[in-house]
Amino acid sequence: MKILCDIDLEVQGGKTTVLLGPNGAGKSTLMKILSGYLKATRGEVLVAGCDPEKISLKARARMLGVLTQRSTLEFPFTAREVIAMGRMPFGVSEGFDEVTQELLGMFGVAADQSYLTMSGGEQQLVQLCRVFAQVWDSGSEAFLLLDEPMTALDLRHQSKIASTLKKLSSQGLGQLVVMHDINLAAELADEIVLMSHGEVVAKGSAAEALKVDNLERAFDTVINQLGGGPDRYFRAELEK
Amino acid sequence: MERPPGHHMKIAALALMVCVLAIASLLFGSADVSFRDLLGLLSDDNDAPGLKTIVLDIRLPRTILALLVGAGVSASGAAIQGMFRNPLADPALIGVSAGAALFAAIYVVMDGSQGLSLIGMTGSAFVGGLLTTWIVLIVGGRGGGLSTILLAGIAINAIALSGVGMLSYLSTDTQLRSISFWALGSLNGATWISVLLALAIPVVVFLIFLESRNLNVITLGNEEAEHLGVSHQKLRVRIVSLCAVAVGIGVALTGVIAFLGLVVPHLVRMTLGSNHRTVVPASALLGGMLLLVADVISRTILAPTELPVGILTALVGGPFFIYLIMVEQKGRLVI
Repeated sequence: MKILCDIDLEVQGGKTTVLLGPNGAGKSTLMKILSGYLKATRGEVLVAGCDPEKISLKARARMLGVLTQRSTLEFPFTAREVIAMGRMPFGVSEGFDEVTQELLGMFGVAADQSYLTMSGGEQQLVQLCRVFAQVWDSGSEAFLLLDEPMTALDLRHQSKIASTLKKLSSQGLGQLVVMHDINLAAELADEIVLMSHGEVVAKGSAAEALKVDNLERAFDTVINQLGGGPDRYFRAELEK
Repeated sequence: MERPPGHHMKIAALALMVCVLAIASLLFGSADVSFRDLLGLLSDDNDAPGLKTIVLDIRLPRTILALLVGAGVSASGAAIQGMFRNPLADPALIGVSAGAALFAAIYVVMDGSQGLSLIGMTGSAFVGGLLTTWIVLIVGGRGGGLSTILLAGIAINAIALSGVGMLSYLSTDTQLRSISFWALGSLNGATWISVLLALAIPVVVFLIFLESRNLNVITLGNEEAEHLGVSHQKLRVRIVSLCAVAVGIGVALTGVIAFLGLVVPHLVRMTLGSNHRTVVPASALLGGMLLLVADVISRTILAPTELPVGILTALVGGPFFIYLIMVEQKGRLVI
């Protein structure tokens, strides 16, 4: 069974690439392959010009910050401890380093609250902070791979995360983000890759990739475009 | 910003309690020993040979063995729970206790001599524990997932315990008593030789402690751990092997000590948090302490006879664990 086919993708430093597509399109599998967790049966993946299999896990962890779709934690770690795990590849993990402190303050996370008593959105925010901690001061040396980072986040935190991604991008960090919000994707992305059934349906800037016929082909539903130019807005038509 | 000193203080407080209880445990037993007698032994003022034997050759090795075995089983429990990302996991999951029990039973039934040798019995149990764990790792490791290992552990446990049942059925009355008594767990046979063998446990506990940061990360998930630079497959082999050695030595020397590896890490997490840099040493100290207290009770409650300590740990640990679960559930519902 083929899950991905004919994928040609480059994530550049300082650029944000957004993967869009319906459930089961192969976005998360592609992320797992790019992050080195899964190996493609055919084809080639290079991270900073090297085969990820030949880079040690420690070195890869200093180069790639990865947020997976589901991270379960069954133990009552504090938010500080979870975020500090992102500093582990740098040999810092006690949670009292500058980066962890800065992220805790920046996102208003209750440092000593148990992760298990947090809401789904708060837990997602803590996991995001953990991944940010991994690449926070790496600049153009690192990449972020985020699988549905906005899941469960309220509008304020979505906006905060979007601003942070833009800030990190301006510092030279390359980003690949899986998203479901087409409109937010259009705002964030330098490049959008629209996927369906394991293949790329359209690729390019938001203006190039996000066309009604591309979206309808990818999502197999009727899409309406409201407005035009940079103010355009897409919504799926309700089924009657 | 520096880490607050709270955790170090708590560990130091636990260590102090261990020392106090260790000294206190020398006073309890079927023969009366006062604190003054102990001081007399230290200053060589007391020439009573019986007292010297009771304290130095019987109670002191027993106390040290309780601390070491309790520490090994509990620190292993903490590591296994972290590794399997399940706060209700137990070292028995990896098959070490059942394997040790099976090989101990084989030794008892095969050995024709009347007296069982310490080295023969513990050696068989230790080899059995390691061998079963190795089989669980090989069989369970094929699927790659943690659930496969857990299922393999359950199956191998069942096979090993059915073997013990079969051997018990075939054994003579004397052999059956040996198998049962060993399976119930007891520190009754503690000698300086067993203490010497158990000295490997603190070394293993220290090696588990060195994996604390990796254990923290693995609780996020296998994939997340890899993205943070930790190979979950290699860590699994290291942790399971270390735990098999620590628990294997403990079970081989004292028999099966129930519930300690499950309850102690849980208790530590409820009071000191989940960071394995605290959980592993605190579990080792608390586990040693609780086994020591259980042993003192087991040797005094029915004096001059003794209750196997494994019965006591299960008898107290079981209801206490149910209480912990109920309190925790209540707390979660309130939140």
